[in-house]
Amino acid sequence: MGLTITHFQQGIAQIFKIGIEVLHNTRELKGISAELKLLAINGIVHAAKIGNNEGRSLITLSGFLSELPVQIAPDLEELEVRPGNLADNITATSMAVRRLMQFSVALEKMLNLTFKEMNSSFSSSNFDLLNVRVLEKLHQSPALYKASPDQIINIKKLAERNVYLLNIINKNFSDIQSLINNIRVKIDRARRNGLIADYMGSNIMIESSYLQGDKKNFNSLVSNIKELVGRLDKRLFLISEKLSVSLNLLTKIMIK
Amino acid sequence: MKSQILFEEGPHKWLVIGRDDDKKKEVIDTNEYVIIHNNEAILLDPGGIEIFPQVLTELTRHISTENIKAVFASHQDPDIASSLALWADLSTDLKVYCSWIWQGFLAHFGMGTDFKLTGIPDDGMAVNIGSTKAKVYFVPAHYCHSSGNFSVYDPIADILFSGDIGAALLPPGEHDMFVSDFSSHIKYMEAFHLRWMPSSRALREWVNRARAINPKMICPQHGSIFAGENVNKFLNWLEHLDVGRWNKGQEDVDIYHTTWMGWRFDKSLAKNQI
Repeated sequence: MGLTITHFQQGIAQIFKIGIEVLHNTRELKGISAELKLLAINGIVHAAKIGNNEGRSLITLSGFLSELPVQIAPDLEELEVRPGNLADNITATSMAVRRLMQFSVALEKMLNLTFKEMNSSFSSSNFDLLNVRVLEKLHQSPALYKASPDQIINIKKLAERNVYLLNIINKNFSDIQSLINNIRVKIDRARRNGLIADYMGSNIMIESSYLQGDKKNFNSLVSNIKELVGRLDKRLFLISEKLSVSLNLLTKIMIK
Repeated sequence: MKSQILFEEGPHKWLVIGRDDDKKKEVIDTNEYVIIHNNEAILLDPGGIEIFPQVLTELTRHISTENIKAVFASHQDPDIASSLALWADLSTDLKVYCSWIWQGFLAHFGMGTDFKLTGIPDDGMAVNIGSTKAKVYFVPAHYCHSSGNFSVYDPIADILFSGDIGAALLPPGEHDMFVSDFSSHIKYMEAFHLRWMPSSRALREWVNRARAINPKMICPQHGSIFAGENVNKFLNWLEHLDVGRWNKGQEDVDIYHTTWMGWRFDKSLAKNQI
């Protein structure tokens, strides 16, 4: 049992570490989004300067592009908040696991002491003390038939405590799971918008290739957009990967 | 971990729990005391979170967890009180007593649990053990060693729980709960008191209070218990101790403490570190 709980603790610690990394990464997303918007506005300004019909399509494309950061913004804002929630939840779970660890050891010791005083051949290892059903019926176990009423009360009370903690941990695990899934949905959406921005950039490049004098301005604008979108995508991909790792870890340590 | 009954008369009982062979080497050994009256208990310095399972298991040999009504923390150290949240988990109406100056600090041991902390005023106070008529007295022991520190006197058992006063760092395998030879016990106490006790004056004031109480037993949180003639021997020894010393008492070499570890502060050197 000790090993299982240590395994929990280590798993939670790893997920916590990932959660903090995700938090750091998401904090930089907003900056990227603001930079993208500035670049798009630059595009509109450049297009407006062209002054004849040639610039109209570029104005439209830059206009679309400038709208993208606005569309991404709520997702990015949520992406900044959610990992914070994730860290809160993981901290609460870690505390519950630590409590469970101490109470489970106490229950184990208490059972062994009771069996010893009863001259019984039973020991705590005969019981799966991380199983809610076992814990709920522990005080009624025939193995404890010689135990004193006080010993039964103490064992029952500790077992109830552990059931309560196991339920909290399980609930938190499932909350963490849905939080991670939710973050991944936002990330996928933000990545999709990034790809659209990249596509818009390519279109601006094509449209501006017909221009004579202003072509250079648009080339540098588009390369900046592409560089920025690449950075955004790389960061979002990194976060997504980290979340996949934590989801795997979570699945492994979840109490069956 | 073992428990020993220190006093038992009618419904009144004192227990000491200590000498934990299972604890990790780096965890300092502690004594936890329990006063039980009419099957209701107050726990004195319940100990750190690391030893909680052992203390709880030993305690439940004597009393049901739901009958632990209060916890007293002599001061704010983790070996005294980091297990508070777990004790509070076991009893929803558990009362926790500590110096008023540490209330906000002990709340940091909460781990999400709100426990009912009662701040003890500087002059001390008396409280009943649970719903019984038996009273215990929180006796001021400020600066011995913490700036907000209390001892506990129980007039029924005539026992004074002294917290870190009288603490000794015993060698491994020393299992005797009581001091048998005071003069040979000094070596286990001296270094602790010189370093952990900040004020000789505060210590002497506490000795005066302890003398006025004149208990049969003085029970520290670390080490062994003083009983019989060792109570006076201990108070006499304590009274003449010049505490608040570090650097093996050689602080006179440099009274302004401008040097540490053999080097002198030179602010210009800081620029080289940037």
